[in-house]
Amino acid sequence: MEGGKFLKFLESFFDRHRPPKSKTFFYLYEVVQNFFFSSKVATTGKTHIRDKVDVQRVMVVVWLATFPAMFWGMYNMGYFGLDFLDKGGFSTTGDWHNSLIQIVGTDPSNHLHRFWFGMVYFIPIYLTVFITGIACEAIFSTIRRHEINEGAFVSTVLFSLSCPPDIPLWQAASGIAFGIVVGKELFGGTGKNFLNPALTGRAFIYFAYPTELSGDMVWVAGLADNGSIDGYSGATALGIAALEGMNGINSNFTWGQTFFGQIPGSIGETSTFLILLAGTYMVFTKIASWRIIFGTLAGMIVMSSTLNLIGSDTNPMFAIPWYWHLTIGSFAFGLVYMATEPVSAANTNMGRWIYGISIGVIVVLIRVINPAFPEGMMLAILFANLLAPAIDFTITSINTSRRMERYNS
Amino acid sequence: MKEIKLKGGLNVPLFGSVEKFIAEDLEPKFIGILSEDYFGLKPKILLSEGDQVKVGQPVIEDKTNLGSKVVSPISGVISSVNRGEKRTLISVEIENDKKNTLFELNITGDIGEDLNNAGLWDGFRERPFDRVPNINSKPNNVFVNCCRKDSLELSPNLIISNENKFFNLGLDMLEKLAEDNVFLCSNEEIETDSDNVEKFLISGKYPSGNSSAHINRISPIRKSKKTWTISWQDVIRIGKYISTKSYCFEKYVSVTGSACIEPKLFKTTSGASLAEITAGNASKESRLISGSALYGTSGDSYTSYLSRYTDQVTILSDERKANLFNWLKFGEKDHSATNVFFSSISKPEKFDFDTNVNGGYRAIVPIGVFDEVNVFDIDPTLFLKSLAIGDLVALRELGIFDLIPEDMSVFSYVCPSKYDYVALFKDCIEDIWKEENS
Repeated sequence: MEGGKFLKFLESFFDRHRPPKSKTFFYLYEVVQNFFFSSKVATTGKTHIRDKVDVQRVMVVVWLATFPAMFWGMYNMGYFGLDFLDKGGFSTTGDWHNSLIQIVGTDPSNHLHRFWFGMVYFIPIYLTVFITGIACEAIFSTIRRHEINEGAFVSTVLFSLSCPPDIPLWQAASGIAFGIVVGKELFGGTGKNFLNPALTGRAFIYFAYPTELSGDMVWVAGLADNGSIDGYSGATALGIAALEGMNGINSNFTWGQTFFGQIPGSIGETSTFLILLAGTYMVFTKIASWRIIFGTLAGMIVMSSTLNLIGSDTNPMFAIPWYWHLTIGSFAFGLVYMATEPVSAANTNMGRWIYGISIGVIVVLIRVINPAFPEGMMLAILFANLLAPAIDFTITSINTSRRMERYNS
Repeated sequence: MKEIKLKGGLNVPLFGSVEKFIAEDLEPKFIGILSEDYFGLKPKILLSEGDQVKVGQPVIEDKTNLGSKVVSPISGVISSVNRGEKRTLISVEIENDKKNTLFELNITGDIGEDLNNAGLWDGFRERPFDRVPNINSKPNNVFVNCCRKDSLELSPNLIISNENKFFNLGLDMLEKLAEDNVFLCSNEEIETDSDNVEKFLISGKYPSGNSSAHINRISPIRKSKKTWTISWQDVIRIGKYISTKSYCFEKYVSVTGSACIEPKLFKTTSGASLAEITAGNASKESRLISGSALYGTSGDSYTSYLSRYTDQVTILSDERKANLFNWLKFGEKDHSATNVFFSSISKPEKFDFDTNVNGGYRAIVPIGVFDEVNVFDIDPTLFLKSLAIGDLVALRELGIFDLIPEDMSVFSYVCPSKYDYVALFKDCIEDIWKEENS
């Protein structure tokens, strides 16, 4: 009963303190109130009933869909981190994480210890990113006087999951701030952004802090601080592939390992299996577009198979078959969570196919032909974001020119 | 007889429908003429408050369409003429004296003039603005809509087959009026005498009963051709007028909805007061809607009357409620075009429908539901975004002339950002009307 009374109190508290729309903090109030209670607004106009889904729910579905990748990411981080400490005979991770990790222990074969290790690394990243991202969104929206969109919840969790395990927190914070402000708010907030905000932030830190965020040292927690040890490579499967091709990958990982996620890499990207499972959920709920997902897959398969056929003596990446492209690097993560972001994607059904296919083609081109960056998914999606308005324009002009011709006849 | 299957659309599983053809007669005490029903109306009010009025006597004349008039369906007294901001006309209310004194009916032999005198001309509406046509004009194509637009109303076929004689008389009149074709669109086959009427069987989900979808598939709108629409009720009324040479203002109305105690069919008068139609049939805290839950008017005390172009009254629960942590709810009885709720697996028989907005207003997030429920020949996301920013140039190209406000209701329903595209559409089409007529 006490709980019920408290809820009544809370509900009436929100009702009593609802500010008028002209007040500065109306939008902040609105989003906080909406978090606790659904809005008590009656329909006006001609359509008297409304679908029960709202943007908040849409974003929550995506947020929930990141959980499998998130939990696996934490466990996997612990697996590689503890394995590395054990192999190198180190007793400490070499930074502030260590004291927290020691609370539970550093037994490399203990599942709980692995998970805890991952949590100690991931939770601070997520918290930092979450608080910075939401604060940027809230401050900006309050000043610019537009509604605060729950899209920031999704941007922050996706950004956190795309970070490498050992990222310094200040870099994560600056990345998400750039993503939210420049990638989204400058253009009017969620719904008006032409770039994926999480990817914009990720691209920003990738190019702003290349020494910390690329190479072979950042993919295993603790590696950078302790220094490398003989016979141990912290490189990702994609990084190995770029240097040594299929032989290099085969001597380090099996395809099953890359598919189920027993590889080092960014926190959320490792398990293709869990990501595709989440993707199935998002497609079933109709939040993610199956056209984009299958378009991207098709583009990637066709392009990589073409390059397999062409072949190259000097570039080992030419020989990587499509099913490896799928499991290594962040292809699956970008495919399911990033490419399907509806606002920056194409907005027509035909356009979604073309948008997807162009992501698939560009990602293989960047991975294989570009010598500088082994990871192409992030850039491929950003390029396709830029293409999306042009794609839509072309598709629509077919419709409009047909109509205007008929109408004037 | 050709079949047209429309792809897309959305089945909104409302409940509380009328099942049987048992029409109760109801003579209303009050009726109202709503100016909102007439697009672009510049009214000249021919009578003032307190004046006596006879059945068929002109009440309003449209200054932009000289000669076309809105007539009183009953005899009695003008009880009030309601005006809003800047003295725009809202409604004219008439109290019934139940004497049924008739205004003199002129029959000249000219179809247009006769229908206008009989108060039936405003049953026609001309595309693209969905406006009562000029009284001296003739249509190229007339689309007769006999589709069940809303899943709750009684199937028009039941009534048409009962009034088949009059319906056919009405169709004959339309054939004489139309220069090219009369198209009859229905969900089930309708018996007709004439071979000249082209019949189409329409199947599909909401809003495939809307004339815009039929026009687009059968004979799309061109500048050089006049396309008119008319509903099945008006065709029956025209038939009755021809056969009796007297006024006919009767209207079949389904009273339905989830908050309706007993769904019923009434045979009443055009413009009847909603309070009288729903008396004793609405549960507490409910909203009376002239029209369907997806496209209807819920008026205040000045406008709570049956609107000119509807066959249905819907009663919906109008209770405000707030759910704690709404974003985590299971949703076993919540309907959605997406599959985010448990109801998409459990498929309950009855869903909860009420007049809550169910979410906060946000910027448009095009998750693809618009494309899925679209039955028209447009690219919906871009169209709706152009509506939201009022880009009239783009809207002309994207197909605003093919559509009317009613067609937007399915998009308003599914929009996760809770935009009201019907209202936006109205604003935009009014602006375009002003641009083209100034």
